[in-house]
Amino acid sequence: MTDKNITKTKKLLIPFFTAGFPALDSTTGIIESFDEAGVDYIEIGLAHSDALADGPVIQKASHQALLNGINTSKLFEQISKIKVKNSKLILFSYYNPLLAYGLEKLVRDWKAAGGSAILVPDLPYEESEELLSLCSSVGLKLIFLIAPTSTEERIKKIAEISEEFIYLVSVTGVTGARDKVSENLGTIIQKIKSFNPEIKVVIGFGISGAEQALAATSQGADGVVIGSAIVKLLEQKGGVQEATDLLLEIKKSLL
Amino acid sequence: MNQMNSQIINKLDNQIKGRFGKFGGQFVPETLMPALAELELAFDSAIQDPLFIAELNDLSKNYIGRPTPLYYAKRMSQFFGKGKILLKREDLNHTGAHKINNAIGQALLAKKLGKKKIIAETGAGQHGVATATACALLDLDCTIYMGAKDVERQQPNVFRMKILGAKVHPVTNGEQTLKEATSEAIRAWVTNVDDTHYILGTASGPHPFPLIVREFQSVIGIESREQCLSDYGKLPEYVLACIGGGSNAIGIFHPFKDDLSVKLIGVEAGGLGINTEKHASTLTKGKPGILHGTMSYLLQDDFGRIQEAHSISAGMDYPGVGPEHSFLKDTGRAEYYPITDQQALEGFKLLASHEGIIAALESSHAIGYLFDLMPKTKADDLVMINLSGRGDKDIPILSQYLNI
Repeated sequence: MTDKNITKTKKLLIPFFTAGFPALDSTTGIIESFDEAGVDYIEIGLAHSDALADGPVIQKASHQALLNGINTSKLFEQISKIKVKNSKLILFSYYNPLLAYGLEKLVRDWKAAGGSAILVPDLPYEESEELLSLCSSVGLKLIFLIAPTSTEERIKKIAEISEEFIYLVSVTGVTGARDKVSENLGTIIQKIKSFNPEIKVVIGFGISGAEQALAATSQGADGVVIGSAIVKLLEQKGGVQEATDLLLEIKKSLL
Repeated sequence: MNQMNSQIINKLDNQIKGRFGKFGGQFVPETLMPALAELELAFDSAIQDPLFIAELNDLSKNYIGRPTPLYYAKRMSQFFGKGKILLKREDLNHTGAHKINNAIGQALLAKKLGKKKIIAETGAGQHGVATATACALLDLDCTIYMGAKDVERQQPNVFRMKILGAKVHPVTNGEQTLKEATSEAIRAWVTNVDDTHYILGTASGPHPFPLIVREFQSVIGIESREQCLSDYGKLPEYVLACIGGGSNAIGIFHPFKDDLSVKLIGVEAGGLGINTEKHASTLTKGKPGILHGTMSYLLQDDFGRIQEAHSISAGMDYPGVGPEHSFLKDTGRAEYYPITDQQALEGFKLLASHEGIIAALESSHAIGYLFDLMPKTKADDLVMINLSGRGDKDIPILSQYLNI
């Protein structure tokens, strides 16, 4: 899968965007451009009417994407037309749209469309058994989140069942750019690694530029997720290029 | 890999938290999970703590005004010609509805948790007023999330909350009503969970909220069951309650759940009719899914997006329902029927003209169901109705519908 001509950074770079935004057919162009830039994973947000973990920027994009007519079937159809060269694709969706689609059909169709993983922000590990085993059965990974409020007991359980990487939420709050990256992330990262030395930890929520990305990785993170900052750029004309430039800049700073 | 996952999953907590059959659960961002666990612990210890119970009982009696009467509505019963209609008068509670039972209980719980800030959602404003009241009483900082559209159409309640010292935060997302207000309150809780307790107003949301709300509202059923036995020497044949999220209904149903001779009937908002798109009959027309942290029946489209509900009563204008009601429906222990806006108005008028009681539009749905039920009753059947709130708050909307 990996194109050897493109240098991979040591740290994982993971953009998030909302599918079907700003226009219904924006999805493919965005993925192709990010893939070309050599990001490691692309988180593809499936818009939901009641996104409990999202701040104003992604809520607004979700609302527009729904008006544009995005839905699970449409998204899979768009994705299946793309051949990614460098990046793995992660489906970011709240649980109810996945349940409505049917979990068995979902993992099959997402795998067939070229997906690698699924991340469900309102599915804590206690509720994850069914989706986790279905993901395993088709070779998809289920990505779990850890928050600054997570207890040691929870960190241990999540670290033990996680594969690929853990998404560490950098702030107690919803998605959206913040001025500063919290300074006690290093302790949580160490705890996670003490329970699962193999697992990578990426930091998201509130990371919007190179400076914060560096602040995150200097605390031991294996990578960063850039969400709201990307979505904000994509809204503008020529936004795909600007968002890609931002990613290249962050990538450079993480080298 | 498969094997590893399944082995590890087997090692996970086997306890299924807060489930009612397949319904309930905790579908929330990880950030909230520790707070829910903390809340569960505090709640479990509170309801076994004699001091907590004593304080709750004292406030129930001397502040809320409990026990509320179980009133025999004689003229309304005579109108139907058979059966005895008994009204559990939750409308006589301080602040005018059953919501205060839960608000006081959870505000005491917040104090026990050491949390000084309270947030809550509200639709019509009844739960907002009840929460603002409890916060004024117990010296807690209070912010109420309310859809901007509801802020507009429920001005008197907004003003009441402000008089009581609460901040009212208008929510401008989506349809700007209760669903969005609840989503925004949950987001606010995610952000401020360290020092804030969320007083959820209905028997829904992630575990342990459905249990907490049921516990604090069960006083309705416990009292009315005792009152019925002592005044009439038997249990009622029917217990009726209106149901939006389902807190007043679970409050009166739960203490009767093992009395299998008692038929439990929940009355949903049928809006303009359940074959239109303008209704809130979640249990009659919905499908199981997840909203606001719980698995329950939901009004949703084929792709799992939540649909808007409609009802003449803002308190029932919600596309979800408490998970225990979904369980009671599927197991057949309770039955749920829709009553349209128009039928609710007929019920409202009947109660006002025959008993001199101005009921909330929510409660009027339960009264409206009597037109279907009473012809099927036997002469000495007891039909108990939870009259969950009074109708003063509905005067502006009623003036648009009633030709007086």
